[in-house]
Formats: sequence, C-alpha cells, structure tokens
Amino acid sequence: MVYFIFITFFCLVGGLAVVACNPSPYFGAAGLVLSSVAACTVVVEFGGSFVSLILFLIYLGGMLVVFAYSVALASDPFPEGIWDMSVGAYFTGYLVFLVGFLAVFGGDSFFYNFGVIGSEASGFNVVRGDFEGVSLLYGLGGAGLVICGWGLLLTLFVVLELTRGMSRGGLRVI
Amino acid sequence: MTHFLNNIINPLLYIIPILLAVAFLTLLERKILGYMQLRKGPNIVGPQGLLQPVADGVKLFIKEPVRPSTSSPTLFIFTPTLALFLALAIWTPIPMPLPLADLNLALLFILAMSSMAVYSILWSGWASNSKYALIGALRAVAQTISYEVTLGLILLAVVLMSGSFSLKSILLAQEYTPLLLSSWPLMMMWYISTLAETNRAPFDLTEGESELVSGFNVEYAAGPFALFFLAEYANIIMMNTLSCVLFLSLGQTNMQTFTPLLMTKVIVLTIGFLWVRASYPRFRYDQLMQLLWKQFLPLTLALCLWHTTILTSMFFIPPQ
Amino acid sequence: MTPTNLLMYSTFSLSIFGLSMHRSHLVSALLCIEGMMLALFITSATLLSTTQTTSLAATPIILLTFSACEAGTGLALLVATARTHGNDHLQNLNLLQC
Repeated sequence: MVYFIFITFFCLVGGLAVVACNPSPYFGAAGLVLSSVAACTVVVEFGGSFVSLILFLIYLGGMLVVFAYSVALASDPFPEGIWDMSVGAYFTGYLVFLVGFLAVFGGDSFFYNFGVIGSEASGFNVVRGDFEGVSLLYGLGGAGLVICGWGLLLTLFVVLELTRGMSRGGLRVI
Repeated sequence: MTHFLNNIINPLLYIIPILLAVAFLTLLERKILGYMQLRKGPNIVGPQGLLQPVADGVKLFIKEPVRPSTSSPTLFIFTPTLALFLALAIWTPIPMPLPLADLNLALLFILAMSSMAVYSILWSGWASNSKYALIGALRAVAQTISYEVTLGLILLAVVLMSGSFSLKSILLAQEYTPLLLSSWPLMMMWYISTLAETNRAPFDLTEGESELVSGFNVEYAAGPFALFFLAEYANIIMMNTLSCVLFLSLGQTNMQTFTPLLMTKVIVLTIGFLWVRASYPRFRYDQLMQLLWKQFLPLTLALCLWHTTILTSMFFIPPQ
Repeated sequence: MTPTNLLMYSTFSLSIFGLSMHRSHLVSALLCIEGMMLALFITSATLLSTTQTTSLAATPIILLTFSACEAGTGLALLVATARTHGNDHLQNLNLLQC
C-alpha cells in the first residue's frame, strides 16, 4: 500500500509537470486528467472518499470542455508533445528541480511517515468526516452557502455578459 | 493463496462471464434486427448461427491492426484499452446480489467512471487525426455532458428515497415494492437517458453511419476496434443491470433466485434497447438537445425537489 | 519534511511556475490555474483528517464551487478572445486594437 501511495504521488506530480512544461493544450488537458485521477486516489487513501469523487466528477467534466475547446480553437497540425525539444527540456528541468528540492529540504525523516493522519487513524470510522461537508454547508454554514450560491449566480451573469454578441459584450464583430 | 484467489480469480470470474454475455449479445442483436426486418440474420456458422460471435472474434483479432501514420500513436493505442478497462471497472460495485467490492459511494463511483468513459471516445477521435472521427468525438462530448446532468438528478432522487449512495441500501429500500411503482416517470427518463449515455440508436449521433461513416472509430480496425466494440456492449449490459438494481428490484430475501431474476430483467431491458434500435430513426442533433434541456431537465429538477419535500413532509425516513 | 508536504508544495509550485514562466495558449494558462486549485483542494481535504476537525469538511466543497466559477469565467474569456482576436495565443492580447 505504501508503494501504491508513492506511485499515486508520482503520477500527481508528473501530470502537473506535464501541464506546467507548456505542451500543446491537448496534452496539457491529458496531463491534468492524469493528475486529477491521481489526486482523487491520494485523497481516497487518506480517507476522503466523498470529496474525492465529487472532485473527480467536476474535474472530468471541466477537462472535457477544455479539451473540446482547445481542439476547436488551436489548429496546429503538429502538436508539441512531451518528446519535443523545448517541452522535454522544461519537463526534465522541473523534475531535476524537484529532486534537488527533495535533497535539500528532505532531511532524514522523509521516508518515515507520510505526514498525514488518515481518517481511520483519527477515529472517523463510522462518522466519516468528509461526508459531513455538504450537510454541514446546508445545516450550519448559512453564510458560506449564500456566498457560494451568489458566486455561482454572479458567474452566470459574467459568462453571459462576456459571450454576448451584438456589439455590446465581450464579443465584437471583427 | 487467498491473495491470489481474491485479486486474480475473483475479478476473472467477473470479467469472463461479462465478455461471454457481450459476445452473445452481439449475436442476439443481429438475430433480432434480422427477424424484425423479415430476414434470417446470421445462421451459417454453427447451429442457428450460435458460433458467429466466436468467428467474429477470431476474425477481428487475427486481422492486422491499422495505425494511421498521422495519428498520435500513444493515445491511439491507449484509448481502446481504457474503454474496455472502464467498462469492466464499472461492474465492480454492482450487486448481483453480492458485489465484487461493496462501496459506500457506489453510485458516485459509477457516475465518475462513466464520465471517464467519454474520454476514451474523445481521445480516440482526436488521436486518429481524421475529421469524421473528430466530429464524432465532439458530438459525443456534447451529448454526454448534457445527459449526465439528468442522469445525476435522477440518481439524486433515488438516493433521497433510499437514503444512501450504496447500491445495497437501494436494494434494501425496495424490499417490499420496487421503486418503479413509486417513481415511474423517473424510470422512464432514466431508461431513455441510458440509451443516450450508451450511444445507442436513436441517439447514436457519435457513430452516425450515414453522415460520419461510423464516427470516432473510423480509423480503428481489428483488435482495437474489437476492444471498443466489447466496451460498448459491456456498457449496455451494465446500464441495464444498473436500472434493474435501481428501479426494478423485487427484494433480496431469496438469494438463490436473485441472480436469475435480475438477469432475466436485464435481458428484457436489453431487448428493449434492440427493439428501439430497430424501430426509431436517428434523432437530429437539435432534437436531441431539445429533448434533454427543454423536457427532461425541468421534469427531473421538479421531481428531485418533489422527492425532497415529500420525504420531509411525511416523516418518511429512509432505511439506513 | 514529509512526502505529503513535498507533494503539496511541489504541485502548487509547479503549476504557478508553469503559469508564470511560459505560456503560449490561453487554454494552457487556464489549465495551470486548475492545477493550482487541485493542489489547494488536496491540501484542504487532507487538512480535515490530519487536524481531526470535522467543521473543516465544508472547505473543499466551497473551494470546488469557486474553482467551478473560475473555470466558467476562464472559458468565457477564452471564447471572447478567440472571437475577437482570431486565436487564443497570449501574445495577441498585447495588441491594443484589432
């Protein structure tokens, strides 16, 4: 299980390194999907199954839209994958930086424990902490719920205003 | 030894019957479509054409897999495997009556996996570097994003009735009466949404043989194509099993008859899928979107609210 | 430093490096911001079990809500720039008129 957790850590960091080293957006989206899968696994390993599945659903839908947009907008016939010169150089650079960071700040206790106490270890066996998040939001978190709902509503109007045509919104006829 | 049994043999005993069922589902589909169009269907290979799936499988797997030179090779090879893997992974939490893994959040897991399955279509369509495949993939994305909204809302209503995301407790909630009786509008919309989710006719706009020459899998041949095919039919059987578990369960007091009963209901629903394919013409794209956003979405939203309020107003406490 | 510490630092800093150092497409910039949100999400989700405080359980959900707002606005901006500038290269945003 320890090895499995390490593999998911590597997948998470590797996926984000792919996103960060500026490949074509297609591969960036693929890298972010990989890292979000890994992130969900990490959160599940530390005992938060509900939030991780919610994250997975939302990120997958979001990345789907992003990928479709980038397919529609960026029309490069030869997309730059991880094996191209500039991208690959940045990728190795980032990995070397990470290993250096680990060597400098890692210290002796790096491989002793994970530094996170999972839910089971802290006594949330029957009452899972993360299951309560949504019910807490609806039950006691009145102001938070109102702010979230207001944010979503505001986003709706911002998006509508940005994408409105007819020479008034963000869209103009060229 | 127990490790071996648990981790290798158990999944294999799950996978092999599913693949067999998929093989014979293809034969059933061709037979039924044949008889509905007043012809015989496959009847040469074996008695009554029973060995046709075997012949098809052998043909598909000994052909040469085509790799288009302008494709993106990693994704091109990776996506069929992903499709089949996800189609088999979704089966994990489904109780028949004992699941392979009894997940607390089984319904969320199934939703997440089935939204992941769109990626196999999208990436395969993009990676094969062909306009037809790309258009098919983009259509699949739009359709799936839209239909997942209603699927999620219908599931939410069911979850409110049964009190948990676990499929076990949904079975428990239907111990005396199936949810079909209490929420039949949901069941009808669910059935149509599963048709759309599995990209079956009349919602098969991603494949669209007449305009897109079979959509996202134009460039695939032989083995990879067979993987896509298996994944699609495994998804059909899985979706029907899920609808039987969600809406049509007849109680699980008698464990021995549960599995045959469940599978009989699955076969009936699957034949419904085939019947729909034989009878209805393909939707136009705007009709598909209108059906969803203007008819299903308001209805499911209203029914979801109704399920919330009726439970609280009548002190209806779901079984834990 | 523990592995989880390193994981959280490195995911966040990788994304912010990627965002700040070199971007050609607006989509890639949005992807980097999503990556930052992912790092914050993991941090807040594990914080809940580490500090054994169940009242923190709503934080990841609220964070996710705002990240959805951010992603929606970003995509709308993407559509707007693509319509007005013809493509989504970030260099084109330096043009004063087009």
